[in-house]
Amino acid sequence: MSSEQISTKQSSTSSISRRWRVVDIVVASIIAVASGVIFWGWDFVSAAPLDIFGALTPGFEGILNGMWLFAGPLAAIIVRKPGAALYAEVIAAVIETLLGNPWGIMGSLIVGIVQGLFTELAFAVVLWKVYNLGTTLLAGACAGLGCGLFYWFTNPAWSVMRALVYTGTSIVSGVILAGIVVWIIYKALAATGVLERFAAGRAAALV
Amino acid sequence: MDQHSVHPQLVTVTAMSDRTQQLHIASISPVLAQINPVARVLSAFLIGVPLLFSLDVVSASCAFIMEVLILWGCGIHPGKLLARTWLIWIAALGAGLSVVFYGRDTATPILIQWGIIHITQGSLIEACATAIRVLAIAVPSVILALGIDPTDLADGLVQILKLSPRFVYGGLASLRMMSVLREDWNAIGRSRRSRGLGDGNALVRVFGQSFSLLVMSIRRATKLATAMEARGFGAPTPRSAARVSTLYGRDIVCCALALAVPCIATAIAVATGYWQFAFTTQS
Repeated sequence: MSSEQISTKQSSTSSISRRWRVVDIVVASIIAVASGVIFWGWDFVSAAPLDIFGALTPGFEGILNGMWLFAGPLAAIIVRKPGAALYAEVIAAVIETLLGNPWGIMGSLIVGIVQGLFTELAFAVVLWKVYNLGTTLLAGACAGLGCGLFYWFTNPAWSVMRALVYTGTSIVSGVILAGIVVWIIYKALAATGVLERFAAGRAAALV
Repeated sequence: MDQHSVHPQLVTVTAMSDRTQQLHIASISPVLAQINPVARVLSAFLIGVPLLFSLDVVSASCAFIMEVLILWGCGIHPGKLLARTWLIWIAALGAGLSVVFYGRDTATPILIQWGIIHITQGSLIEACATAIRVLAIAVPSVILALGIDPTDLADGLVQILKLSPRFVYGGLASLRMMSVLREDWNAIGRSRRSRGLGDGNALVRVFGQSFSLLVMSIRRATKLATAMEARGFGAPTPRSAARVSTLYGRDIVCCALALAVPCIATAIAVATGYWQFAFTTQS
C-alpha cells in the first residue's frame, strides 16, 4: 500500500504527462467559469466607456480589452496542458454568452475562440514546456494581438492608423491584465497551497 | 425532560403528486425554444459570418429587415426586440462614429478636416453600413443565445457535434458550481468581517474577497474532480446518454433560414449594384 503511494508520487513529479486528468479539466473549467462571470460583468461596465472612447479617440478603447483576455493565460499557467488556454477562453466566452450578455453568440464566442487560439500560440512556440513569467507575458500579448486583429477584421472601414492604435493598446492591455496580473494571481494561488495537485503548485513550492 | 417529545416539530412536506418542476423556457420566442441549442449557435454563425464579407448599406439593411420580420414571425414583436437589444443600438452608433472620424476612405471629397480627424463622403456611407451591419449581425445572435440551457447545449455538443464528453461535461459540472459560489461569497464575506477584515475601502474588500473566492473554488474543483473520478467520470469505457439530443427537421429549417438571410441580402445588393466587398475600398 505504502510502496504504491510512493511510486505514484514519484511518477507524477518526474514525468509531466500531456494527457488531461479529470482534475485538470475541472479546475480549468472553474477558472473559466469565474472568468466568464467577470467577462459578463465587464460587458456591462465597459459598454459606455467603450462606445465613448471608440467614437472619440483613434483606437484607445483597446486598453479596456484586457479584462476579456486573462482566462486563457491563467488556466494555462496553472493546468499546464496543451489546449488549456484555448479551452478556458472558449468556456469563459460560452459562459459570458449564456449569462445573457449584450453581444450574443457572434460578438462573444467567435472573438473568444480567436483570443484562445492566439493565447495558445504563445505556449505552442515553447512546445508547452516553459511556464514562466516570460511565456505568461507573451500569452497576454498574443491574446491582445488576436483581439485587436479580430476587431480590425470586423471593422474593415477603420483607417490603418486607427486599427494599429487599437491593436497596440489591446496588446498593452493584454500584457498588463492577462500577463503581469495573471502572474501575480498565480504566485498568490501557489502560496496558498491550493495548487498542490498540479505541477504549477509543486514548482512554486520547491523555489 | 426531552423538549422534542412534548412539542414535536412538524415538518411539512409537499405531496409526491404535487411536486412539479416548472418547465424551463429556453427562449423568449416559443418557436426558437423548440430549436436544438447546437442549431441555434450554428444559425447565429450562418447569419453573421457571411455578412462580415460585405460592407454596404443595402446588404446590411436587407439582412436586418429580413431578420426583424423572421423574428416577428417567431413571436418576438419588434418593440420587444428593441427592448432586449438596446445596448447593441448604442454600440452600433459608436462603431459608426469611429468610422466617421477615423475611416479608411481617402478617395472621396473631404467634408471636414480637423487635426487627425478627417470626415469624407465615403466614410459617412461606410459608417452607415458599419452601424447597420453591427445590428444585422448582433441582434439575431443575442436573441438566439437568450435562454439557452447549459445542460441542453452540453448534451448537443457531445451527441451531435461529438465533442469530448470529458471536456464538455467537466465544463458543465463547473458551471453548476456557480450557485454554490454565490453562497461561498456570502460566507467568506461574513467570516472576513468576523475577523475584522473588509470594513475599509470597498474596492480593496472586493479584490481580497474575490481572491478568497478563487482559492475556495479551486479547492472545491479539486474535490469535485476526485468525486467525479470516483463515480467513473473520464473512464475509457464509452459513455451512455441519459438525455437524448438530436436534430429534427425544424433545426435544419432554422439553419437553412439563417443561411438564406445573408445570401438573399448579398444577392439584392449585387443585383442593385450597391454591393461592396468589405476588405477593398470603394474606387
